[in-house]
Amino acid sequence: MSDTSPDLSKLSGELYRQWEKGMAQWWDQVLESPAFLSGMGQSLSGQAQARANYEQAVDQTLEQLHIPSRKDFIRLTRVATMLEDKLLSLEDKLLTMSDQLAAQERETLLARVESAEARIEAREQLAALQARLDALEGKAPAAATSTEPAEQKGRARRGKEESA
Amino acid sequence: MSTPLVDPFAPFGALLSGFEGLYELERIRRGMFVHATAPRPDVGVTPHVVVHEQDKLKLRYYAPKRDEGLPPVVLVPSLINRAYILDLESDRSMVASLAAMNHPVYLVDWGEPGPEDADEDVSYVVLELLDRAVRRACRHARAPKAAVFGYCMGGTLVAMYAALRPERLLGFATLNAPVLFAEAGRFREFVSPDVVNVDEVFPAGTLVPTWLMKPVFQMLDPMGSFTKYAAIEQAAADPKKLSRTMARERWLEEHVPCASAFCREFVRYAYQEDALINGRWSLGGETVRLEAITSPALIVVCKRDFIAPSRSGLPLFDRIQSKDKELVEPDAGHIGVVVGATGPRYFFPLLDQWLRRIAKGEPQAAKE
Repeated sequence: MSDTSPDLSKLSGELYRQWEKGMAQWWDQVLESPAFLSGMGQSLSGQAQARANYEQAVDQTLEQLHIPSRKDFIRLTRVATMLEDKLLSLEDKLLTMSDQLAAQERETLLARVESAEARIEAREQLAALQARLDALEGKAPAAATSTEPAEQKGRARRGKEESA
Repeated sequence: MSTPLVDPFAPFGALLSGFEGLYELERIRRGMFVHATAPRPDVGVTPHVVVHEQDKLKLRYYAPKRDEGLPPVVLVPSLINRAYILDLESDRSMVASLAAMNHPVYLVDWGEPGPEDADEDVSYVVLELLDRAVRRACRHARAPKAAVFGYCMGGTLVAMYAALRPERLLGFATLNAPVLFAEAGRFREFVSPDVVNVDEVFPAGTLVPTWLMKPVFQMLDPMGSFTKYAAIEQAAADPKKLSRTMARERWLEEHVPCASAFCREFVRYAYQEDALINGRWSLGGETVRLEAITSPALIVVCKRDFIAPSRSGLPLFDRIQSKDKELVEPDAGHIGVVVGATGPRYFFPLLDQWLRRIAKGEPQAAKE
Protein backbone atom coordinates (compact mmCIF):
# COMPACT_ATOMS: atom_id res chain seq x y z
CA MET A 1 0.00 0.00 0.00
CA SER A 2 1.25 3.49 -0.73
CA ASP A 3 1.40 6.29 1.85
CA THR A 4 -1.74 7.81 0.44
CA SER A 5 -3.88 4.72 1.08
CA PRO A 6 -4.75 5.51 4.75
CA ASP A 7 -6.07 8.92 3.66
CA LEU A 8 -8.05 7.34 0.87
CA SER A 9 -9.41 4.84 3.34
CA LYS A 10 -10.48 7.60 5.70
CA LEU A 11 -11.90 9.62 2.85
CA SER A 12 -13.97 6.69 1.61
CA GLY A 13 -15.13 6.07 5.16
CA GLU A 14 -16.17 9.69 5.51
CA LEU A 15 -17.91 9.52 2.14
CA TYR A 16 -19.81 6.45 3.26
CA ARG A 17 -20.91 8.11 6.50
CA GLN A 18 -22.00 11.23 4.60
CA TRP A 19 -23.90 9.08 2.14
CA GLU A 20 -25.64 7.19 4.97
CA LYS A 21 -26.59 10.42 6.72
CA GLY A 22 -27.79 11.96 3.46
CA MET A 23 -29.86 8.89 2.64
CA ALA A 24 -31.45 8.91 6.08
CA GLN A 25 -32.41 12.57 5.63
CA TRP A 26 -33.67 11.88 2.13
CA TRP A 27 -35.84 9.01 3.35
CA ASP A 28 -37.21 11.21 6.13
CA GLN A 29 -38.13 13.87 3.59
CA VAL A 30 -39.68 11.35 1.23
CA LEU A 31 -41.67 9.50 3.89
CA GLU A 32 -43.02 12.73 5.34
CA SER A 33 -43.92 14.34 2.02
CA PRO A 34 -47.66 14.60 1.33
CA ALA A 35 -47.11 13.44 -2.24
CA PHE A 36 -45.53 10.17 -1.12
CA LEU A 37 -48.10 9.56 1.62
CA SER A 38 -50.99 10.25 -0.72
CA GLY A 39 -49.47 7.96 -3.35
CA MET A 40 -48.97 5.24 -0.74
CA GLY A 41 -52.58 5.53 0.38
CA GLN A 42 -53.82 5.29 -3.18
CA SER A 43 -51.54 2.35 -3.84
CA LEU A 44 -52.83 0.51 -0.75
CA SER A 45 -56.44 1.14 -1.76
CA GLY A 46 -55.70 0.00 -5.30
CA GLN A 47 -53.99 -3.18 -4.14
CA ALA A 48 -56.83 -4.01 -1.76
CA GLN A 49 -59.39 -3.38 -4.48
CA ALA A 50 -57.44 -5.51 -6.97
CA ARG A 51 -57.20 -8.33 -4.44
CA ALA A 52 -60.90 -8.19 -3.70
CA ASN A 53 -61.74 -8.13 -7.41
CA TYR A 54 -59.46 -11.07 -8.11
CA GLU A 55 -60.98 -13.14 -5.31
CA GLN A 56 -64.47 -12.28 -6.51
CA ALA A 57 -63.60 -13.25 -10.08
CA VAL A 58 -62.14 -16.60 -8.95
CA ASP A 59 -65.25 -17.28 -6.86
CA GLN A 60 -67.55 -16.46 -9.76
CA THR A 61 -65.62 -18.71 -12.11
CA LEU A 62 -65.71 -21.63 -9.68
CA GLU A 63 -69.42 -21.09 -9.07
CA GLN A 64 -70.10 -21.19 -12.79
CA LEU A 65 -68.17 -24.44 -13.00
CA HIS A 66 -70.25 -25.83 -10.12
CA ILE A 67 -67.10 -26.26 -8.05
CA PRO A 68 -67.20 -25.27 -4.38
CA SER A 69 -65.60 -21.87 -4.16
CA ARG A 70 -63.58 -20.20 -1.38
CA LYS A 71 -66.78 -18.44 -0.36
CA ASP A 72 -68.44 -21.81 0.27
CA PHE A 73 -65.56 -23.04 2.39
CA ILE A 74 -65.55 -19.77 4.32
CA ARG A 75 -69.27 -20.16 4.98
CA LEU A 76 -68.72 -23.70 6.24
CA THR A 77 -65.82 -22.81 8.47
CA ARG A 78 -67.78 -19.86 9.88
CA VAL A 79 -70.57 -22.25 10.78
CA ALA A 80 -67.98 -24.47 12.47
CA THR A 81 -66.56 -21.47 14.34
CA MET A 82 -70.04 -20.44 15.48
CA LEU A 83 -70.72 -23.96 16.66
CA GLU A 84 -67.42 -24.01 18.50
CA ASP A 85 -68.30 -20.69 20.18
CA LYS A 86 -71.66 -22.08 21.23
CA LEU A 87 -70.05 -25.25 22.54
CA LEU A 88 -67.53 -23.22 24.50
CA SER A 89 -70.34 -21.08 25.96
CA LEU A 90 -72.13 -24.25 26.98
CA GLU A 91 -68.90 -25.63 28.39
CA ASP A 92 -68.48 -22.38 30.37
CA LYS A 93 -71.96 -22.81 31.81
CA LEU A 94 -71.31 -26.46 32.59
CA LEU A 95 -68.05 -25.56 34.29
CA THR A 96 -69.81 -22.87 36.33
CA MET A 97 -72.51 -25.36 37.29
CA SER A 98 -69.89 -27.96 38.09
CA ASP A 99 -68.11 -25.39 40.30
CA GLN A 100 -71.38 -24.61 42.07
CA LEU A 101 -72.14 -28.31 42.48
CA ALA A 102 -68.68 -28.96 43.81
CA ALA A 103 -69.12 -26.11 46.29
CA GLN A 104 -72.49 -27.49 47.37
CA GLU A 105 -71.03 -30.97 47.62
CA ARG A 106 -68.26 -29.61 49.78
CA GLU A 107 -70.76 -27.83 52.01
CA THR A 108 -72.94 -30.95 52.27
CA LEU A 109 -69.94 -33.05 53.08
CA LEU A 110 -68.82 -30.57 55.72
CA ALA A 111 -72.32 -30.54 57.20
CA ARG A 112 -72.35 -34.33 57.26
CA VAL A 113 -68.97 -34.47 58.91
CA GLU A 114 -70.09 -31.88 61.45
CA SER A 115 -73.31 -33.78 62.23
CA ALA A 116 -71.36 -37.05 62.51
CA GLU A 117 -68.94 -35.36 64.87
CA ALA A 118 -71.86 -33.96 66.87
CA ARG A 119 -73.40 -37.43 67.04
CA ILE A 120 -70.14 -38.93 68.23
CA GLU A 121 -69.79 -36.18 70.80
CA ALA A 122 -73.39 -36.72 72.00
CA ARG A 123 -72.79 -40.44 72.21
CA GLU A 124 -69.65 -39.87 74.23
CA GLN A 125 -71.48 -37.48 76.55
CA LEU A 126 -74.30 -40.00 76.91
CA ALA A 127 -71.82 -42.74 77.71
CA ALA A 128 -70.16 -40.49 80.30
CA LEU A 129 -73.52 -39.68 81.85
CA GLN A 130 -74.42 -43.37 81.87
CA ALA A 131 -71.17 -44.16 83.59
CA ARG A 132 -71.79 -41.48 86.19
CA LEU A 133 -75.32 -42.72 86.68
CA ASP A 134 -74.08 -46.26 87.12
CA ALA A 135 -71.52 -45.04 89.59
CA LEU A 136 -74.16 -43.10 91.47
CA GLU A 137 -76.50 -46.12 91.49
CA GLY A 138 -73.67 -48.24 92.92
CA LYS A 139 -73.05 -45.71 95.68
CA ALA A 140 -76.76 -45.21 96.45
CA PRO A 141 -77.44 -48.41 98.64
CA ALA A 142 -74.34 -47.81 100.70
CA ALA A 143 -75.30 -44.22 101.25
CA ALA A 144 -78.85 -45.29 102.25
CA THR A 145 -77.61 -47.55 105.11
CA SER A 146 -75.15 -44.98 106.41
CA THR A 147 -77.75 -42.20 106.64
CA GLU A 148 -80.53 -44.29 108.43
CA PRO A 149 -79.75 -43.54 112.26
CA ALA A 150 -79.58 -39.84 111.59
CA GLU A 151 -82.93 -39.92 109.90
CA GLN A 152 -84.42 -41.77 112.88
CA LYS A 153 -83.02 -39.17 115.34
CA GLY A 154 -84.49 -36.39 113.22
CA ARG A 155 -87.87 -38.00 113.10
CA ALA A 156 -87.90 -38.45 116.99
CA ARG A 157 -86.93 -34.77 117.47
CA ARG A 158 -89.72 -33.58 115.14
CA GLY A 159 -92.26 -35.85 117.15
CA LYS A 160 -91.20 -34.28 120.45
CA GLU A 161 -91.56 -30.77 119.07
CA GLU A 162 -95.03 -31.53 117.70
CA SER A 163 -96.30 -33.00 121.11
CA ALA A 164 -94.91 -30.02 123.04
CA MET B 1 -27.94 -24.64 13.27
CA SER B 2 -25.82 -25.66 10.27
CA THR B 3 -23.09 -23.46 8.73
CA PRO B 4 -24.22 -20.87 6.17
CA LEU B 5 -23.30 -21.35 2.54
CA VAL B 6 -19.93 -20.05 1.35
CA ASP B 7 -20.09 -16.56 -0.16
CA PRO B 8 -18.57 -16.81 -3.68
CA PHE B 9 -17.72 -13.10 -3.72
CA ALA B 10 -15.99 -13.10 -0.33
CA PRO B 11 -12.39 -13.10 -1.74
CA PHE B 12 -13.04 -9.81 -3.50
CA GLY B 13 -13.84 -8.19 -0.17
CA ALA B 14 -10.13 -8.25 0.68
CA LEU B 15 -9.45 -5.92 -2.23
CA LEU B 16 -11.70 -3.32 -0.65
CA SER B 17 -10.31 -3.66 2.86
CA GLY B 18 -8.05 -0.62 2.36
CA PHE B 19 -11.01 1.60 1.68
CA GLU B 20 -13.15 2.02 4.80
CA GLY B 21 -16.26 3.26 3.03
CA LEU B 22 -16.25 0.67 0.26
CA TYR B 23 -15.46 -2.01 2.80
CA GLU B 24 -18.52 -0.94 4.79
CA LEU B 25 -20.65 -1.46 1.70
CA GLU B 26 -18.98 -4.81 1.12
CA ARG B 27 -19.86 -5.79 4.70
CA ILE B 28 -23.48 -4.92 4.03
CA ARG B 29 -23.40 -7.03 0.87
CA ARG B 30 -21.91 -9.92 2.82
CA GLY B 31 -24.52 -9.43 5.52
CA MET B 32 -27.24 -9.68 2.89
CA PHE B 33 -25.72 -12.94 1.68
CA VAL B 34 -25.60 -14.33 5.22
CA HIS B 35 -29.17 -13.19 5.81
CA ALA B 36 -30.35 -14.91 2.66
CA THR B 37 -28.54 -18.19 3.29
CA ALA B 38 -28.19 -18.68 7.03
CA PRO B 39 -30.71 -21.19 8.41
CA ARG B 40 -33.17 -19.83 10.97
CA PRO B 41 -32.95 -21.32 14.47
CA ASP B 42 -35.87 -23.05 16.15
CA VAL B 43 -37.94 -20.76 18.31
CA GLY B 44 -40.69 -21.29 20.87
CA VAL B 45 -39.05 -24.45 22.19
CA THR B 46 -39.81 -24.15 25.91
CA PRO B 47 -41.83 -27.24 26.94
CA HIS B 48 -45.51 -26.51 27.43
CA VAL B 49 -49.00 -27.91 27.07
CA VAL B 50 -52.01 -26.39 25.34
CA VAL B 51 -54.77 -26.05 27.94
CA HIS B 52 -57.42 -24.23 25.93
CA GLU B 53 -58.29 -23.67 22.28
CA GLN B 54 -60.84 -21.44 20.67
CA ASP B 55 -60.96 -20.63 16.98
CA LYS B 56 -57.25 -20.13 16.10
CA LEU B 57 -56.30 -19.16 19.65
CA LYS B 58 -54.24 -21.53 21.75
CA LEU B 59 -53.52 -21.01 25.44
CA ARG B 60 -50.08 -22.44 26.16
CA TYR B 61 -49.18 -23.36 29.73
CA TYR B 62 -45.62 -23.32 31.05
CA ALA B 63 -45.46 -25.03 34.43
CA PRO B 64 -43.55 -23.28 37.22
CA LYS B 65 -40.25 -24.81 38.27
CA ARG B 66 -41.46 -25.07 41.86
CA ASP B 67 -45.01 -24.65 43.12
CA GLU B 68 -45.05 -21.60 45.37
CA GLY B 69 -48.78 -21.07 44.99
CA LEU B 70 -48.24 -17.91 42.94
CA PRO B 71 -51.18 -16.67 40.84
CA PRO B 72 -51.21 -17.36 37.09
CA VAL B 73 -49.66 -14.87 34.66
CA VAL B 74 -51.29 -14.52 31.25
CA LEU B 75 -49.01 -13.11 28.54
CA VAL B 76 -50.66 -11.36 25.59
CA PRO B 77 -48.53 -10.58 22.51
CA SER B 78 -49.55 -8.45 19.54
CA LEU B 79 -52.00 -9.92 17.04
CA ILE B 80 -49.72 -9.28 14.08
CA ASN B 81 -46.73 -11.14 15.53
CA ARG B 82 -46.16 -14.79 16.31
CA ALA B 83 -46.57 -15.69 19.97
CA TYR B 84 -43.03 -17.11 20.04
CA ILE B 85 -41.67 -13.57 20.32
CA LEU B 86 -42.05 -14.13 24.07
CA ASP B 87 -40.18 -17.44 23.77
CA LEU B 88 -37.57 -16.65 21.15
CA GLU B 89 -34.38 -18.08 22.64
CA SER B 90 -34.22 -20.56 25.48
CA ASP B 91 -31.77 -18.54 27.60
CA ARG B 92 -33.61 -15.24 27.10
CA SER B 93 -37.18 -16.46 26.83
CA MET B 94 -39.73 -14.50 28.81
CA VAL B 95 -42.02 -17.48 29.39
CA ALA B 96 -39.12 -19.72 30.44
CA SER B 97 -37.69 -17.05 32.77
CA LEU B 98 -41.01 -16.42 34.52
CA ALA B 99 -41.65 -20.17 34.83
CA ALA B 100 -38.15 -20.57 36.29
CA MET B 101 -39.11 -17.88 38.82
CA ASN B 102 -41.96 -20.21 39.85
CA HIS B 103 -44.84 -18.38 38.13
CA PRO B 104 -47.47 -20.47 36.33
CA VAL B 105 -47.26 -18.88 32.87
CA TYR B 106 -50.01 -18.90 30.23
CA LEU B 107 -49.17 -17.58 26.78
CA VAL B 108 -51.98 -16.42 24.50
CA ASP B 109 -51.10 -17.58 20.99
CA TRP B 110 -53.56 -15.81 18.71
CA GLY B 111 -52.73 -18.15 15.85
CA GLU B 112 -52.99 -17.33 12.18
CA PRO B 113 -56.44 -16.21 11.03
CA GLY B 114 -57.95 -17.69 7.90
CA PRO B 115 -60.35 -15.99 5.49
CA GLU B 116 -63.23 -17.26 7.64
CA ASP B 117 -61.98 -15.04 10.49
CA ALA B 118 -61.96 -11.85 8.42
CA ASP B 119 -64.98 -10.41 10.24
CA GLU B 120 -63.58 -10.84 13.75
CA ASP B 121 -63.32 -7.38 15.26
CA VAL B 122 -61.68 -5.92 18.38
CA SER B 123 -64.75 -6.69 20.47
CA TYR B 124 -64.57 -10.40 19.58
CA VAL B 125 -60.85 -10.49 20.32
CA VAL B 126 -61.08 -8.76 23.72
CA LEU B 127 -64.44 -9.80 25.11
CA GLU B 128 -64.67 -13.28 23.65
CA LEU B 129 -61.19 -14.69 23.00
CA LEU B 130 -59.08 -12.89 25.63
CA ASP B 131 -61.73 -12.97 28.34
CA ARG B 132 -62.25 -16.70 27.98
CA ALA B 133 -58.50 -17.34 27.81
CA VAL B 134 -58.01 -15.49 31.13
CA ARG B 135 -60.93 -17.34 32.74
CA ARG B 136 -59.59 -20.69 31.54
CA ALA B 137 -56.11 -19.84 32.83
CA CYS B 138 -57.61 -19.04 36.26
CA ARG B 139 -59.56 -22.30 36.22
CA HIS B 140 -56.52 -24.33 35.18
CA ALA B 141 -54.38 -22.72 37.89
CA ARG B 142 -57.23 -23.08 40.45
CA ALA B 143 -56.87 -19.38 41.20
CA PRO B 144 -59.64 -16.77 41.43
CA LYS B 145 -57.64 -14.11 39.59
CA ALA B 146 -54.74 -13.76 37.17
CA ALA B 147 -52.15 -11.13 36.39
CA VAL B 148 -52.22 -10.17 32.71
CA PHE B 149 -49.25 -8.82 30.76
CA GLY B 150 -49.62 -7.24 27.32
CA TYR B 151 -46.87 -6.37 24.88
CA CYS B 152 -47.21 -3.68 22.18
CA MET B 153 -50.70 -3.92 20.62
CA GLY B 154 -51.34 -6.78 23.07
CA GLY B 155 -50.83 -4.22 25.85
CA THR B 156 -53.41 -1.89 24.33
CA LEU B 157 -55.89 -4.79 24.23
CA VAL B 158 -55.04 -5.68 27.84
CA ALA B 159 -55.73 -2.08 28.91
CA MET B 160 -59.13 -2.30 27.19
CA TYR B 161 -59.77 -5.63 28.91
CA ALA B 162 -58.80 -4.16 32.30
CA ALA B 163 -61.30 -1.35 31.74
CA LEU B 164 -64.16 -3.68 30.80
CA ARG B 165 -63.60 -6.97 32.66
CA PRO B 166 -61.66 -6.32 35.86
CA GLU B 167 -63.30 -9.21 37.79
CA ARG B 168 -60.58 -11.72 36.99
CA LEU B 169 -57.68 -9.27 37.16
CA LEU B 170 -55.23 -9.38 39.99
CA GLY B 171 -53.34 -6.68 38.16
CA PHE B 172 -52.05 -5.89 34.69
CA ALA B 173 -48.75 -4.91 33.14
CA THR B 174 -48.13 -3.35 29.74
CA LEU B 175 -44.92 -3.02 27.78
CA ASN B 176 -44.69 -0.45 24.98
CA ALA B 177 -48.46 -0.31 24.65
CA PRO B 178 -49.68 2.78 22.81
CA VAL B 179 -52.88 4.49 23.98
CA LEU B 180 -52.33 8.05 22.73
CA PHE B 181 -52.07 7.42 19.03
CA ALA B 182 -51.53 11.06 18.07
CA GLU B 183 -48.00 10.42 19.41
CA ALA B 184 -47.60 7.06 17.69
CA GLY B 185 -44.81 8.27 15.42
CA ARG B 186 -44.35 7.59 11.76
CA PHE B 187 -46.85 4.75 11.62
CA ARG B 188 -49.58 7.19 12.55
CA GLU B 189 -48.62 9.37 9.56
CA PHE B 190 -48.84 6.32 7.29
CA VAL B 191 -52.41 5.57 8.32
CA SER B 192 -53.75 9.08 8.93
CA PRO B 193 -57.26 9.75 7.53
CA ASP B 194 -55.75 11.86 4.70
CA VAL B 195 -53.64 8.89 3.58
CA VAL B 196 -55.70 5.80 4.25
CA ASN B 197 -59.38 5.25 3.64
CA VAL B 198 -59.89 2.31 5.99
CA ASP B 199 -62.96 1.02 4.15
CA GLU B 200 -60.99 0.84 0.91
CA VAL B 201 -57.70 -0.46 2.30
CA PHE B 202 -59.32 -3.06 4.57
CA PRO B 203 -62.36 -4.24 2.59
CA ALA B 204 -64.83 -6.49 4.41
CA GLY B 205 -64.25 -10.22 4.25
CA THR B 206 -60.51 -10.08 3.55
CA LEU B 207 -57.27 -10.46 5.44
CA VAL B 208 -54.47 -7.91 5.50
CA PRO B 209 -51.59 -9.89 3.98
CA THR B 210 -48.15 -10.01 5.54
CA TRP B 211 -46.47 -8.82 2.33
CA LEU B 212 -48.34 -5.57 2.81
CA MET B 213 -47.32 -5.20 6.46
CA LYS B 214 -43.62 -5.91 6.07
CA PRO B 215 -42.69 -2.91 3.88
CA VAL B 216 -44.73 -0.62 6.11
CA PHE B 217 -42.68 -1.71 9.13
CA GLN B 218 -39.45 -1.42 7.14
CA MET B 219 -40.36 2.14 6.23
CA LEU B 220 -40.48 3.07 9.91
CA ASP B 221 -36.67 2.97 9.78
CA PRO B 222 -35.58 2.57 6.15
CA MET B 223 -31.85 3.08 6.73
CA GLY B 224 -31.92 0.76 9.73
CA SER B 225 -33.44 -1.91 7.52
CA PHE B 226 -30.38 -1.51 5.25
CA THR B 227 -27.52 -1.04 7.70
CA LYS B 228 -28.67 -3.98 9.85
CA TYR B 229 -26.89 -6.23 7.35
CA ALA B 230 -23.56 -4.90 8.61
CA ALA B 231 -24.52 -6.16 12.07
CA ILE B 232 -25.52 -9.51 10.57
CA GLU B 233 -22.15 -9.73 8.83
CA GLN B 234 -20.40 -9.02 12.13
CA ALA B 235 -22.53 -11.64 13.90
CA ALA B 236 -21.67 -14.26 11.26
CA ALA B 237 -18.22 -14.75 12.84
CA ASP B 238 -19.78 -16.17 16.01
CA PRO B 239 -22.35 -18.99 15.62
CA LYS B 240 -24.09 -18.07 18.89
CA LYS B 241 -24.41 -14.41 17.88
CA LEU B 242 -25.58 -15.40 14.41
CA SER B 243 -28.21 -17.69 15.90
CA ARG B 244 -29.49 -14.85 18.10
CA THR B 245 -29.58 -12.44 15.17
CA MET B 246 -31.40 -14.93 12.95
CA ALA B 247 -33.95 -15.62 15.69
CA ARG B 248 -34.74 -11.90 15.75
CA GLU B 249 -34.94 -11.92 11.97
CA ARG B 250 -37.58 -14.65 12.19
CA TRP B 251 -39.62 -12.35 14.35
CA LEU B 252 -39.27 -9.51 11.83
CA GLU B 253 -39.96 -11.75 8.86
CA GLU B 254 -42.81 -13.85 10.15
CA HIS B 255 -45.76 -11.55 10.61
CA VAL B 256 -49.29 -12.84 10.89
CA PRO B 257 -52.08 -11.72 8.56
CA CYS B 258 -54.74 -9.69 10.28
CA ALA B 259 -58.52 -9.81 9.93
CA SER B 260 -59.70 -6.78 7.95
CA ALA B 261 -62.52 -6.07 10.44
CA PHE B 262 -59.96 -5.87 13.26
CA CYS B 263 -57.57 -3.67 11.25
CA ARG B 264 -60.37 -1.41 10.06
CA GLU B 265 -61.61 -0.83 13.60
CA PHE B 266 -58.17 -0.53 15.17
CA VAL B 267 -56.76 1.88 12.58
CA ARG B 268 -59.92 4.00 12.50
CA TYR B 269 -60.58 4.28 16.25
CA ALA B 270 -57.01 4.11 17.52
CA TYR B 271 -54.78 5.78 14.93
CA GLN B 272 -57.23 8.05 13.11
CA GLU B 273 -59.64 9.15 15.85
CA ASP B 274 -57.67 8.51 19.06
CA ALA B 275 -60.93 7.16 20.46
CA LEU B 276 -59.33 5.07 23.22
CA ILE B 277 -57.80 7.94 25.17
CA ASN B 278 -60.90 10.06 24.57
CA GLY B 279 -63.31 7.39 25.83
CA ARG B 280 -65.17 7.10 22.54
CA TRP B 281 -64.42 3.47 21.69
CA SER B 282 -67.15 0.94 22.39
CA LEU B 283 -66.72 -2.82 22.40
CA GLY B 284 -69.96 -4.79 22.19
CA GLY B 285 -71.91 -1.72 23.29
CA GLU B 286 -69.64 -1.03 26.29
CA THR B 287 -67.58 2.15 26.21
CA VAL B 288 -63.93 1.63 27.09
CA ARG B 289 -62.98 4.15 29.75
CA LEU B 290 -59.38 4.01 30.85
CA GLU B 291 -60.39 6.06 33.91
CA ALA B 292 -62.44 3.07 35.05
CA ILE B 293 -59.29 0.99 35.59
CA THR B 294 -58.52 0.51 39.27
CA SER B 295 -56.53 -2.74 39.18
CA PRO B 296 -52.85 -2.65 40.21
CA ALA B 297 -50.82 -1.69 37.15
CA LEU B 298 -47.24 -1.74 35.94
CA ILE B 299 -46.68 0.46 32.88
CA VAL B 300 -43.37 0.01 31.07
CA VAL B 301 -42.43 2.30 28.19
CA CYS B 302 -39.04 2.14 26.52
CA LYS B 303 -37.33 5.47 25.84
CA ARG B 304 -35.81 4.44 22.49
CA ASP B 305 -38.91 2.81 21.00
CA PHE B 306 -39.71 4.18 17.54
CA ILE B 307 -42.47 1.67 16.72
CA ALA B 308 -44.64 2.60 19.71
CA PRO B 309 -42.91 5.75 21.01
CA SER B 310 -42.91 6.26 24.77
CA ARG B 311 -45.07 9.39 24.43
CA SER B 312 -47.88 7.21 23.11
CA GLY B 313 -47.71 4.83 26.08
CA LEU B 314 -47.14 7.25 28.98
CA PRO B 315 -50.72 8.65 29.12
CA LEU B 316 -52.00 5.23 30.22
CA PHE B 317 -50.22 5.74 33.54
CA ASP B 318 -51.80 9.16 34.04
CA ARG B 319 -55.26 8.15 32.93
CA ILE B 320 -55.93 5.04 35.01
CA GLN B 321 -57.31 5.46 38.52
CA SER B 322 -55.41 2.57 40.12
CA LYS B 323 -54.10 3.45 43.56
CA ASP B 324 -51.31 0.93 43.06
CA LYS B 325 -49.57 1.89 39.81
CA GLU B 326 -45.94 1.97 38.75
CA LEU B 327 -44.25 3.56 35.77
CA VAL B 328 -40.91 2.28 34.49
CA GLU B 329 -38.99 3.84 31.60
CA PRO B 330 -35.97 1.72 30.66
CA ASP B 331 -33.44 3.07 28.18
CA ALA B 332 -34.19 0.45 25.52
CA GLY B 333 -35.89 -0.03 22.17
CA HIS B 334 -39.12 -1.77 21.21
CA ILE B 335 -37.85 -5.33 21.18
CA GLY B 336 -34.68 -5.22 23.30
CA VAL B 337 -36.48 -5.66 26.61
CA VAL B 338 -38.20 -8.84 25.46
CA VAL B 339 -35.51 -10.55 23.38
CA GLY B 340 -32.26 -8.84 24.34
CA ALA B 341 -29.99 -9.20 27.33
CA THR B 342 -32.05 -6.52 29.12
CA GLY B 343 -34.83 -9.07 29.61
CA PRO B 344 -33.14 -11.59 31.93
CA ARG B 345 -30.90 -8.94 33.50
CA TYR B 346 -33.49 -6.27 34.22
CA PHE B 347 -37.04 -6.68 32.97
CA PHE B 348 -37.98 -10.25 33.98
CA PRO B 349 -36.77 -9.79 37.61
CA LEU B 350 -38.69 -6.49 37.72
CA LEU B 351 -41.85 -8.22 36.54
CA ASP B 352 -41.25 -11.08 38.98
CA GLN B 353 -40.98 -8.69 41.93
CA TRP B 354 -44.11 -6.80 40.87
CA LEU B 355 -46.08 -10.05 40.43
CA ARG B 356 -45.02 -11.31 43.85
CA ARG B 357 -45.94 -8.00 45.46
CA ILE B 358 -49.46 -7.86 44.00
CA ALA B 359 -49.95 -11.57 44.75
CA LYS B 360 -49.27 -10.87 48.42
CA GLY B 361 -51.41 -7.72 48.29
CA GLU B 362 -48.49 -5.70 49.58
CA PRO B 363 -48.70 -1.93 49.19
CA GLN B 364 -46.58 -0.12 46.65
CA ALA B 365 -43.24 1.10 47.97
CA ALA B 366 -43.19 4.85 48.51
CA LYS B 367 -41.19 6.75 45.93
CA GLU B 368 -38.11 8.54 47.16
